[in-house]
Amino acid sequence: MHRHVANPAEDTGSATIALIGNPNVGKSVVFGYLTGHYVIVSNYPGTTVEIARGRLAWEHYRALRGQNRYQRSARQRPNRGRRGAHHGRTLRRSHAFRRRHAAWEVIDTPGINNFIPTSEDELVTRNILMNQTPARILQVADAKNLRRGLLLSLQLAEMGLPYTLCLNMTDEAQDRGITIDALALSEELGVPVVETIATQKVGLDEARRRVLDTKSRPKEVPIPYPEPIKKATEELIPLLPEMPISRKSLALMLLSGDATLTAWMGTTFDEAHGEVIRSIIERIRRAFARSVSVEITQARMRAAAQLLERVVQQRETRLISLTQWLGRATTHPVGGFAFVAAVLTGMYYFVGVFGAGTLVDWLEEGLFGSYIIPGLSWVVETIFPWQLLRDLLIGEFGLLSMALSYSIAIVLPIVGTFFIAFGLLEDSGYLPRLSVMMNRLFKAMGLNGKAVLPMVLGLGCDTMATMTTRILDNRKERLVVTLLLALGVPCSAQLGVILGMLQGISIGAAAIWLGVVASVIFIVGYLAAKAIPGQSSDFLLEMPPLRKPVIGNIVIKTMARLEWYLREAVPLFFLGTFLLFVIDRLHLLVSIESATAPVVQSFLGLPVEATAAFIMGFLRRDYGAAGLFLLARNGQLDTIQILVSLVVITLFMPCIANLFMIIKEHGLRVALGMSAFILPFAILVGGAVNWSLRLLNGVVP
Amino acid sequence: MKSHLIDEILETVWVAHEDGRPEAATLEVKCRHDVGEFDLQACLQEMEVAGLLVLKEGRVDFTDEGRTRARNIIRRHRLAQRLLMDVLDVSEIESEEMACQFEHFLSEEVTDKVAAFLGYPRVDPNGRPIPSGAPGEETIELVKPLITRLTRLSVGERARVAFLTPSFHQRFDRLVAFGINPGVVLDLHQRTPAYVVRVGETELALDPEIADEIYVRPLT
Repeated sequence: MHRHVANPAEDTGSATIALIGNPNVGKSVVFGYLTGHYVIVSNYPGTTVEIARGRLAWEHYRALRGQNRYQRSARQRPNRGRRGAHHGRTLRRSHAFRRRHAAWEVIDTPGINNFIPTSEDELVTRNILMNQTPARILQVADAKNLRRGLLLSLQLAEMGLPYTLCLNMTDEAQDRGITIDALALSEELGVPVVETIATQKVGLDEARRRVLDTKSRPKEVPIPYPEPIKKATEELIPLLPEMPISRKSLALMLLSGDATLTAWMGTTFDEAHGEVIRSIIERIRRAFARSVSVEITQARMRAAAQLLERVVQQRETRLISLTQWLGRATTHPVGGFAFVAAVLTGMYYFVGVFGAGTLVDWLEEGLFGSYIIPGLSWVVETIFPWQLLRDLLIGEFGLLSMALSYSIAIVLPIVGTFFIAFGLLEDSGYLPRLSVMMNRLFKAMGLNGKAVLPMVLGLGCDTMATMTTRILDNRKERLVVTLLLALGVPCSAQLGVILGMLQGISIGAAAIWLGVVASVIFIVGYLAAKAIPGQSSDFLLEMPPLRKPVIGNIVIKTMARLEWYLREAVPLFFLGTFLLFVIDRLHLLVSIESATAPVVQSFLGLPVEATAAFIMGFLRRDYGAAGLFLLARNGQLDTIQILVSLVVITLFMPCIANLFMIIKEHGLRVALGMSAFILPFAILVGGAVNWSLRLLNGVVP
Repeated sequence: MKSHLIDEILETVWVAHEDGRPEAATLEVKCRHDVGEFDLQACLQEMEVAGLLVLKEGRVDFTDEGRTRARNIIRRHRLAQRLLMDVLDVSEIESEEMACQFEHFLSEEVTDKVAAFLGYPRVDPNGRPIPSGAPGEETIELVKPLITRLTRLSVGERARVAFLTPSFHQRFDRLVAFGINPGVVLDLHQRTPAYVVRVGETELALDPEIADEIYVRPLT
C-alpha cells in the first residue's frame, strides 16, 4: 500500500537534472539553490571545461515528500486516523524515501549560445545532451534576453528532450518594460514555463517542482528552414540510428557541418552508409554560398523572433537607470580608466594591506607563531625520538613549520581576500568591462582582453592564476598567459616584500623596476604570441548589466574556491617544502652558490649571498624576496644592487608550486621549456639593468 | 554558343579561380537559366578557340579579353545580389537566382549607379570580393551610403543589421547566436577602447575587425 509513493525505476538510478542556458543567466545561482553546498567541480573528460555536479539538496526531498504525502492523504482520507499507530513505519519510509531520491544529481553545464558547437563549452554541453541523456533538463533563460534563450529552447524541442523553461531575472525585464506572457509561451512550447528571480529565490520552488515532474516531450515549433535543407533532413532521417536525441536534430547537426561529429560518424556507420550521408551533406554544402550552419541558425533565429512577437510586449523605456549609467561609465574611453585605477586601488587595500598585512600578521605571528607551531613542535618532539623526522616536520624547512604555516597562515588569507574581491567584481559584472578597457593593450600583444583576468589574479597568487588560464579560448592564449604569469607577474606575497624594499630607496627606483618589468611582460608577450602557432581568438564579449552583488552568492563562491585551493594548491606547497628540505640536507645550496658565483658577482654585480635568495625564490617566491630584504636592511646592497636583484627575483623562475601547476596544466615539456627560457632571460635582463645603470651613473659605488 | 552560356561559364571559371581550383574537370555551372543542355568540356574548348580561355594540363585560365568580360559579369552579379538582399530584403536563394539573370543585361552605366547607390561595397553578401568598376572608384566615399559598415557609424547612432560578412563561419555563428543577425536593430554605444553595441537587452563588446564585417542600414 505504501509502494505508490514513486516508481523507483523512474525516479532513481542515475537520474540527472541538467541545467542549461546562455552565459550570465543565473544558472549557478539556481544550481546553488538545488544542491546546497555539496558541489564537485571537475573537468569534462578530455577538455578544460569545468562541470559542477552536486546532489539535489536534502531539503528538496523533504519538500517533495511533503507534497507526496499531501497527495496521498487527499486520496486516502480513511487511513488518516491510523497514522499515529504507524509512526515507526513512517520513519522507515522516510529513510527509504531518502535512499530512493538521494540519487538525483544536478549538473551545471557551461553557458552556451548555440548547440552548434563553436567553442569547447558548447561542445561539452551538446555532448552531455547527446550521450548522457539527462532525465530532466532545466533551461534557465534571461527574461530580458529571451530571443537568445529561445534559440536554445527551439533546439531542445527539436531534439525531443523534455525540459522546463525558467524565465529568470523577471525583475530586470520588468524594469526594462518587457512583459512576457508565460502562459502563452508555455502553450507555444508545450513545456512548463516558470518565472523566477533566482537571486531572491523567487519562483525557484516552483521551478524545482516542475522540473522533477516534467517528462512529456515538448511541442515542436516549426522552423522555416530553406527548402533544400528541409529536403535533405528528410533524406537523412531514415539513415540515422536511434539516439537519445531525435534523428531530425541529429540530421541538422550533420548538415550544419559540425566537424565534431566526424569521429562519431566513423564509428557509427559502415563505409557505404557513411558515404551516402556524406554525399547528402556535401550536396547541401555546395548549394549554399554561406555556411549551412549559418542558414540553420538564422532560420531558428527567425522562428524565435516570431515566437517572441506573440508572447512578449515591449514598452519603450528611455529611462536609463543608475546601474546602466554606471555600466556605460566603466567602459568610457577616459572615465573607464579612472574606474580601473579605483578598482585596482581598492583591491590593493583589501588584498594587499588588509589580507597580506593585517590578516597575515594575525595568523602567522599570532595564531601560528605563538600557538599552533609551538604546540605542534611540542607534540612532535614528545612523540618522535628521531631527529630526522623531527626536522622533516618542524625543522627550518619542515612540513608543519613551513609548508603548513605558509599555505594556511600566509597564502590562505591573501587568496581568501583576493577571492572575495574577485567574487565581488565577478558578480557585479565589472570583469568583462575591465577586459574591454585592457583589450587594446593586450591586442597589441597579440592576445585579447580576456587575458587580463588571470593576469590580475596572478597578483594574488600565480599558482591559482595559472589554473584559471582555462577561461581563455584557446591553447595559444593559455600558453602565453601562463608564461607571462611565470615570468613577470609578482604574486601578492612577493609584491609585499618588493614594495617594502622599494620604499626604502626612491620613487625613481620604483619607476625603473615597474618600467622594466612591464616592458618585459609586454615584449615577451608580443614575441610569444608571434612564436606560438595558432590564431588569437576573437574578442567578442557579452557585457552583462552591472548588478549589486548578493553576499550569499559570494560567500558560496569563495568557499568553493578556497576548497579548491586547499585541495589542489596546498599539496604542492608541501611537495615544494619537501624538496627544499632534501636540498638542504644534501648541502646542495652551498655547491650551487659557488658554482653560480661568477654570474651573480660579475654579471649581476651582486654579493654571493644573493644566490641563496634566488634559489629560495624558486621554492617560495616571497622567501627569495625576503632574503634580499634582509641583505638590503643589513646594508649589504646599494641602490643599483637592490634594483638589479629585485628585477631578477621578479622575473626569476616561478615558485615550485607554480611550476607543478604548469606541469599539471600543460605537461612537463612545456614547463621545462618555459623554465629553460625564464632562468637565463631573468639573469640577462638583470645584467642589462646592472650594466646600463652603472654606465649611466659612471661610477661603481 | 549562346552568349548567356558563355557568361555563365566565365563566371564559373572566375569563382573556381577564387576558390583556388581552376580545374576543367571539377567545374560546375550553377546558374542554368535559359541555357538549355550543353556539354561543358566542349564549350570550354569552343571558348578557347574564341580567345576567351586557355586550357592547359587540365587547368582553365583566362585570356585578357576573357578576364575583363568575366570580371564585369561578376561585378554585375554581386552588385545585383547586394542590391536585392540589402535594399529590397529579398532572401538569399531568391536573390542569388535573380542576380543570375541580372548579370546578363545590366548596362555598365546602371551597374555603376547601383555601386554608387550602395556606397561602393567591396564584398557581396557571401563575403566574396566585388571587382571594382572604373579606376579610382576604390577611393570614392559617399557622404552617407544606404548600407555602411558598423565601424562607420557614430556613437549613439541606431541602425538595422543588413548582413554580415565574417571572414570565418565560426565568427558568424557566434554573432548570430548573440542576436546580431540581419534584421535586428542595434545601437552603437562606444567605439573605443572596443566597439560596444546593444542588441535588445544584450550588450556586446567586439573588436574593430569584427565590427568591420557587420553591415548596417543607419536608421537615424
